[in-house]
Amino acid sequence: MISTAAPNESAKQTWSGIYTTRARAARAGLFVLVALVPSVLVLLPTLTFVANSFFVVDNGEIVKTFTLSNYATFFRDAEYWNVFINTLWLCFQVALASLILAYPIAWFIWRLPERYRYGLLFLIILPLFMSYVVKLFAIRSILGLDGFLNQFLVFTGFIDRPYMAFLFSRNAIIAAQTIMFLPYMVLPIFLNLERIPPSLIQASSDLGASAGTTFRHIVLPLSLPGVAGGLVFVFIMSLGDYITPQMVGGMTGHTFGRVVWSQFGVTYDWPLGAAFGVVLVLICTTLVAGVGLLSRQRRI
Amino acid sequence: MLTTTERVAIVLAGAVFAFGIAVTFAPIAITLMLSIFPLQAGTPDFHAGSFDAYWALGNERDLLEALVNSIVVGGAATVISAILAIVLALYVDSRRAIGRPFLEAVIYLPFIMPPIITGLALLLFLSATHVERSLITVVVGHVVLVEAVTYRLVSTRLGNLPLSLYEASADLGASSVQTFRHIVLPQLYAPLIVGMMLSFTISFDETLLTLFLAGANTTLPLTLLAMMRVGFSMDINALVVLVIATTILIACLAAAIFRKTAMRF
Repeated sequence: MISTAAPNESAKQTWSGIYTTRARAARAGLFVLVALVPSVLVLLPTLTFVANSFFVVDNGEIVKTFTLSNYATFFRDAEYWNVFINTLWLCFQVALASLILAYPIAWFIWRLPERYRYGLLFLIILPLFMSYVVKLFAIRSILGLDGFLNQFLVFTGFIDRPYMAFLFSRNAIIAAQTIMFLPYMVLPIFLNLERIPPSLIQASSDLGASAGTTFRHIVLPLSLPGVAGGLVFVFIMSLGDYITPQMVGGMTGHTFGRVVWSQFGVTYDWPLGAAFGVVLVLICTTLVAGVGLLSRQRRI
Repeated sequence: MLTTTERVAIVLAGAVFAFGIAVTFAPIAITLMLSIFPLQAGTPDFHAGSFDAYWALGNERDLLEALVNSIVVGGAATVISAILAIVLALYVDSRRAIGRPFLEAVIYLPFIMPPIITGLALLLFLSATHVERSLITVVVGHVVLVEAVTYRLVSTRLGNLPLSLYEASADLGASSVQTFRHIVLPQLYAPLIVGMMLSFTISFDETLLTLFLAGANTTLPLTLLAMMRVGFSMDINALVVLVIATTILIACLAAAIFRKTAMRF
């Protein structure tokens, strides 16, 4: 081991010896040149955004002082806090509803012969390329008072007059977001299922395990990272979506995303909106980091 | 071969699959229906179907203007982000690259964060630098958002290129510039094209980020959003059908190219 490492070490030394100060400056210059545009467009806005969360608004003007009062408002004001907790619960329900639909779908596609597999996967992903606003409008026209669902139920005799509660309810938000985000949940689960070596499943059945046992002890545990990834993906998307809750949720659609958005519109308290935004970012990064850690542990 | 339990499980999962397809495709089906059949007291009149709405599209000036805006914004964002992505990918792949984790973090951050965050960060930055909101700021926002897609595809392909390819080219006496032009660049066409198609479709449909950045001139999704409260006329539905059909066509093309080239390596 030592004898092979030694020449490498010396080679590295001569290599670093080649660099003169000038070469090093050129290298740094190239980096600055390449990194300039992304940094200006991403890093500076992010820094401005975080800095703004520590400012306050006074008489419609943003005062650039350092204060934690926006964060204090978030933690102290029961109204914001309730909306926040309520929104997290809503997003969790959306993620769970998506999972319940997406797992059988992903499993079904995975079980198909390879010939059909990718065609059907593409079919499931295709709705992602349909307009977001149009999907919202169509869902509204399905769930509305004179919408197609009510008409269908009256027509088939399940109810005798149009039933209001489909639209402008919490369930409407869950249904709408589940429909919109379903492909994002199917994809990671399917990709994860596909990574399971067929030999493992063969070995399991060779050892006398039934299909159910193989699924419970081999397939399900190995697909959990994909499940976690999909859950986080859908959760984050639901958390950041401030239009769907308003359009299909009515009064129940007052989610945290809408609170953030309204600080930039009606309320005009940009620093408070920025502080709430920082809270959202912290939640998202924690979730993403958690899933990253989980899938890394699984791989070993 | 299959046991009864397995067969039942497959049938049940297939039913869920069919249900999933039905609900995710319902919006486009309804839009298509409403572009052909006029509504009579809330129900579509199936005896009065016609394609008149498609011929009347020329009269919808606002809508067509928004459509043109969306195409211009999507095209500009796609080209600019592709150039940025290829420069960054080549740099990160090169031996002399420094700060790789930093660069990738900056590239992926706007794509991972919810659009509301990217949107409000850019809005605060624009206001701090006193830049008026316009279609140009929308393009900037979209570039930041879609750059990650093209970068990811191009850098993955670069990373998968076997070292022997470079060595063979050098052995045959090619300079590094020649190797890049004749060996490396042709390998990047496919991921670049797929990335650009995806970028365009994402930009074309972007709503949550665009709302923060658009000025008086808006894109198609924002115009449709404003019209939603009043309800969509048959003309709007007709336009939407055409737009979605085009987007789906682009997606299918991208998938076909991706499949064809993915098999080569």
